[in-house]
Amino acid sequence: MTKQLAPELIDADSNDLYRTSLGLYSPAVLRGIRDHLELDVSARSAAGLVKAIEECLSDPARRATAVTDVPAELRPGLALLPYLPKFGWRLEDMRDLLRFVGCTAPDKSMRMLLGLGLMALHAPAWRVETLRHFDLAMNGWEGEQLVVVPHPAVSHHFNGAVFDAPKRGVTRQVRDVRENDGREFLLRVAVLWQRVVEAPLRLTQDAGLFRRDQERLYSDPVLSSPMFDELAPLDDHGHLAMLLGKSLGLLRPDDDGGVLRATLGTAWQSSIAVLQQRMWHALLSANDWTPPSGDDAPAIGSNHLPAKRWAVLLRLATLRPDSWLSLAELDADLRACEPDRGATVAERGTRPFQVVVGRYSRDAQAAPARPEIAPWLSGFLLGAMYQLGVVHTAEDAADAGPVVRLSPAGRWLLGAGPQPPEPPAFEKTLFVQPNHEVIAYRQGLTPELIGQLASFCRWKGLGAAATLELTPDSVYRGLEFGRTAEEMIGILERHSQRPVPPAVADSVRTWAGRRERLRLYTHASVLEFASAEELEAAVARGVAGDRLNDRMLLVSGEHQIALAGFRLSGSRDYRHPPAVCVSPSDDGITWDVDLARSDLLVGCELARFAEPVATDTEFNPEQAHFLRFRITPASLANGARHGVRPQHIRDWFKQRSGLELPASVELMLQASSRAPVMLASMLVLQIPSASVADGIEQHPDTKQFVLRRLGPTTLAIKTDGVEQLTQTLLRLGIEVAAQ
Amino acid sequence: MAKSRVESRGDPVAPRLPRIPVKLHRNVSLIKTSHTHLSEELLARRKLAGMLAGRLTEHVLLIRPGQEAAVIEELRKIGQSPQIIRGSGG
Repeated sequence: MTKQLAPELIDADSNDLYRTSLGLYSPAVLRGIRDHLELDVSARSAAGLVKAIEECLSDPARRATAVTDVPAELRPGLALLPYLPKFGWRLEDMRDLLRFVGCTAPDKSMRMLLGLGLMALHAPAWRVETLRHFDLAMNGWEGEQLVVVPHPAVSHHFNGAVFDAPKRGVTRQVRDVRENDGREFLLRVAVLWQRVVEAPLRLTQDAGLFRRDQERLYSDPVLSSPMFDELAPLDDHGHLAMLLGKSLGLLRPDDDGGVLRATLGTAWQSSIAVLQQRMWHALLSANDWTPPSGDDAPAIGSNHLPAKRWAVLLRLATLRPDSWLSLAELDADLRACEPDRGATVAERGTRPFQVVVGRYSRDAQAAPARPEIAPWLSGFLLGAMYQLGVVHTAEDAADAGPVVRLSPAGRWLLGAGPQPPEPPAFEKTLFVQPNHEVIAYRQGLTPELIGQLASFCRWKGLGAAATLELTPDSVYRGLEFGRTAEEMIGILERHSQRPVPPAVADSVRTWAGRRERLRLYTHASVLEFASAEELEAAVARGVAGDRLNDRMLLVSGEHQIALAGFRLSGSRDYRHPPAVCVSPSDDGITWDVDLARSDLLVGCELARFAEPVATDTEFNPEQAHFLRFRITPASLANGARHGVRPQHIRDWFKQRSGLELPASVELMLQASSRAPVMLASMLVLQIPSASVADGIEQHPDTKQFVLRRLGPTTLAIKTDGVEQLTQTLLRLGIEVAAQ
Repeated sequence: MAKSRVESRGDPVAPRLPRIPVKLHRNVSLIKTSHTHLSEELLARRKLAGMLAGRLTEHVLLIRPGQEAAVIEELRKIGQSPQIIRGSGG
C-alpha cells in the first residue's frame, strides 16, 4: 500500500503543527524539556511552557547553547534537522536516514532532539505523559504512525553538509550532458487534471482508485505515453500524476472522500520553482509511486525507500556544482549502509568471478563488467528527479559510465545553492492551426499558460511540443471555469506566433454562444405566487431571481430566499415521491387537480395528454382551488404523437390519484390505439346454461356451426348453417325456439 | 377586503407590510431556453421528451426528478452545451 503522510499534515501550518504536537505533551514532559534547555521560566501551565520552549528555540544563540554538549555520535541528527520538511517525517524514515548518513546511534540522536524540543513527536492518538514515552515511541507505539515535526526555526535553515564529500567516483570530465526542463510532471498533472474535470475519479475506502478508473488512466494515450527525454521509464504515469496533483491542491477528494475532483486551486499561478518544490516534497514523502498491486512482497532493494532517496540527494548536495558522481559508486555506497543488507546480498553482478584456462589472454581481462544499478536508484534519479529537473546526467569521459549531479534547482531544494532565476520567458510559444489544433512549444509553457490551456483545450499529445485541440466540449469547460469566449481567444492571440485563424475564433464564439441558448438548473427553488401583482410586490421587497412567468420566480439556492416577509402557503420537495392530488369526476374523463397539494409537474404532465378546462370561479369560488382537465380523443392522440403511451397514462394516474384509470378513458385509449371496432349482423344462440353451451361448442356434430363464444350462455352461429344446426340439436334432444 | 396579517418585528416606526402568500417548490430541475423553437425542438426528441415532465412556459421545460444527469448527457449527445447551474440541494 502507498505510504504517504496524511494530507492534513502536509497542508498544516508548520508553527501550528509543532505547537499542537507539543500541546499534547503532559506538563511533566514539558518541564523536562524546559530543564534540558535550562530555561528559567516561572510558567507552570502547559500552554505557558510550550510558549517558553518555542520562544527559546527561536533564538539561534540559545539554540546553539542548548546543543553545545551533544556528543559527536548524536550530531548527525542535528545536521539533518534543516532538511526535515515543515510537515515532518515519519519517525521510522528519519531513523533509517540517520543510519544512511552514518549515525551509529540513530534512536539516541532522535531522543536527544525530542528531549531538547528541537523536534516534536506528532502522535494525535496518544498523550506523551513522561519522557520515557519517547523511548517507547522509538520502539514503535503499538503500530501508530508517528511523525516527527521540526521546530519552525530550524526547518530549512541549512548550516552545512551532512556528509563529507565522497572521495570515490567523483569526476569533472564528462560528455553528453543532459538537462531536463522540469516541466514533464507538470504537464502530466495538467492532463490528468483535465481528464478529472471531464469525469471525476471514484475513490475506494482506502483512497485508491477503482479498477475501472485505473484502467481509464492507464489506457489514456496522452497520460500513459512515454515521457519526453526519458532516461529511465517510470511506472503508471496516471497514479504518479494523481499523487502530484493532490500535492499541488489541484485534485481534491470531496467531503465524503468518495470522489476525487479537479479544483482550480492556486497552483497554476505559482512559479515553476515553487511547483517543483511541492512536487519534490510529494515524491520524497511517498513510499511508493505506483498503486497498490495486492502483492505485499516489496521489490528487491525497495526497503527504506524514503530514507534512501534522501540519502542519495544529500550525498549529491555535498558535491561542488561542477562535480559529478558515478551512479555505480552511489549505489555501492548505499548498499554498504543498508540496515538489512543481508536480504540483498544475493544481488550480484553477472560475473562474480572469472576462471581463466590455458594461455593468459589480455583481451579476456579487458573491460570488467559494469555493475548493475539498483532499479529503484535509476528510477529515482534518472526517472523522477531528472524529469523534475532536480539532477543533470552525463557520461563519465573516462569509462562512459552514468554520472549525475544536482541541477541549480536541485541544489536550491537541498539548501546547497541559491534559488535559480526563472527560466527565460517565450511568450509567443503557440501555433493555432485552422483545424483547431494548438501546438505549444515546451520552453514557453509557464504554469499559468499550462493551466489556461488545460482549462479550455484538450490535450492530444506531449513531446517536444505539446498538441492540444479546441472542441465544443473543451470550450464549454472553459466557460464553466468562468472564462468568456473573448478571453479564450485573447489567450491564444497573446501566445500565438501568428494571428489566430478567423475560423477558429468564430468556432470558439459559436460554441460559447450555443451554451448561452440553454440553461439547465438542477435542484433549484421556485417561488410560486398567487398573482403577478404579488410577485411584483415580492421583487420590490428585494427577492432576487429569474422570472419563469408572471407568477413564478426561480432562485438558484433556497438559502438565498429571505422568507421573513412571506406566508408559506405550501411547500413541495421534488426529491420526495409525488403527492396524490388528482381526482376524477363521475364521467371519468374530467380530472381535477387540487392546487393545495399539487406541484409544478402535474400541470405540465397533464397538458401532454389532456385539455385544460376553463372554470367559472366567479360563480363558484371553490373552483379557484382546482385546475380542471378533460381527456378527449384529440388530447390522447396528441399525447401519442409526443410519445405518451397508454401504460404511462395508467401509471401516472395511479400515482397521482391512487386509483385505476377510469373505464371511459380506457375506452378512448382503445380508440386511440387504432384497433378497429367491428360492427356486424350475426345470429346468436342463447342457451339456458353454460354447460349446454360448452357441450354445443365441444360436440363434433355441432361445433362446426359455432363461430365463437360471446359469453357464458351465448354463441355466435354461422348464418349458412342455421337449418343444419337446428336439425342436429333436435336430434340431440334440444329444441330451438326462434326469436 | 380582509385584513392581512402584518409583520410584528422590525422597526416600529416603519410601515408594516402584509405577508405575501407564496408556495415554495424545492429541488426543482428545469431547462430554460432562449427561444421558443428550441423548446419545441427539445420536446420533439422522443428520448429527451421522456425525461422531461413537460413545458411550464414557452421557454421553460421541467425535468423529471432524478433525470438531471441523463438530460445533461442527452443534450450533449445532440450537440447542445447547456450552462449548468447547480442549486444547493444538488
